Amino acid sequence: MTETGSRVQDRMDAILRRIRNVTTPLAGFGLVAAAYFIVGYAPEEAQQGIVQKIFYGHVASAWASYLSFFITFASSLLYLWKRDRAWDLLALSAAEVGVVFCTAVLLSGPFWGKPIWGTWWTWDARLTTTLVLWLIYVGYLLLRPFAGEGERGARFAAVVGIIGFLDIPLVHLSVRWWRTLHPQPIVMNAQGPQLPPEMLTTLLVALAAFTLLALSFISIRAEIERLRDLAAMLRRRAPREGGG
Amino acid sequence: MKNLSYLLWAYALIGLLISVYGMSLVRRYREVAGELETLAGAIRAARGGTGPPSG
Repeated sequence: MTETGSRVQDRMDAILRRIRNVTTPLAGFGLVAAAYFIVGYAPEEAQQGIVQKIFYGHVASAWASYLSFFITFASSLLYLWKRDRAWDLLALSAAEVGVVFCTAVLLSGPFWGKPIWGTWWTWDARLTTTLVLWLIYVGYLLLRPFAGEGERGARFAAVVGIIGFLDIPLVHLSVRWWRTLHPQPIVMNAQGPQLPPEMLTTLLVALAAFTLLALSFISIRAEIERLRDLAAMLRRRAPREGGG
Repeated sequence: MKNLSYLLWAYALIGLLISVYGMSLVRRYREVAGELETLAGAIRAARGGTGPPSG
């Protein structure tokens, strides 16, 4: 153990710092590249027209939220197993970033739905399970301060983080299990991607940019929590050092 | 170019959300870094060294 954290925490700090240094500038380039591909390279879809281009930002946001929630899920499991605060901080950071991207999905979807389905929102299986996913993790973030400081609160959060993730397979499979307005998966399906090469390339660029952005956000958010821990430790020490 | 406004609104909202969250991360990072600097200065001063100027 070091003074301000475990050996796991120190190793995780080093890894997150490296991830942050690499992903932050790359995410910037990636977003510019994605914008170029969406505007200038991807063709207009024959039936839906230009509004179909919402697809790239919508799907990339969904992917970034799934990735973030997966990190919360895995970190929560590791916290319950190892009881190391480093995993709890990572789970919290990833949950917050996941909620941001899930909000982007829920905000962008209606702007695609209105011109194509004729409605901003419908209580369709995919839309409803995505809203439930968002509510679970918003609940995770809102309830954390009330769950108590220290291990008790972290344990409670870890359980919610794990249970919440179980909704993701439900979100993904909802379009197969129920009759739904939402399109079937056209990339992750048994026949392989069902997209023209230009659209697939654009989607992959958008996915890469949003993945880098999510990893950058998570590593910065985790660093903030780590610095807060350090500040709390110094606050406890400051009066002692001052002879108080 | 039918429905262009829907496309622009969708990407404007995604961009706004990401920008606001990014800025909130920067603000929180600066806040805690500033607090750490103040605390470290206070500890150094208590040990007899010189801390940073305190406002």
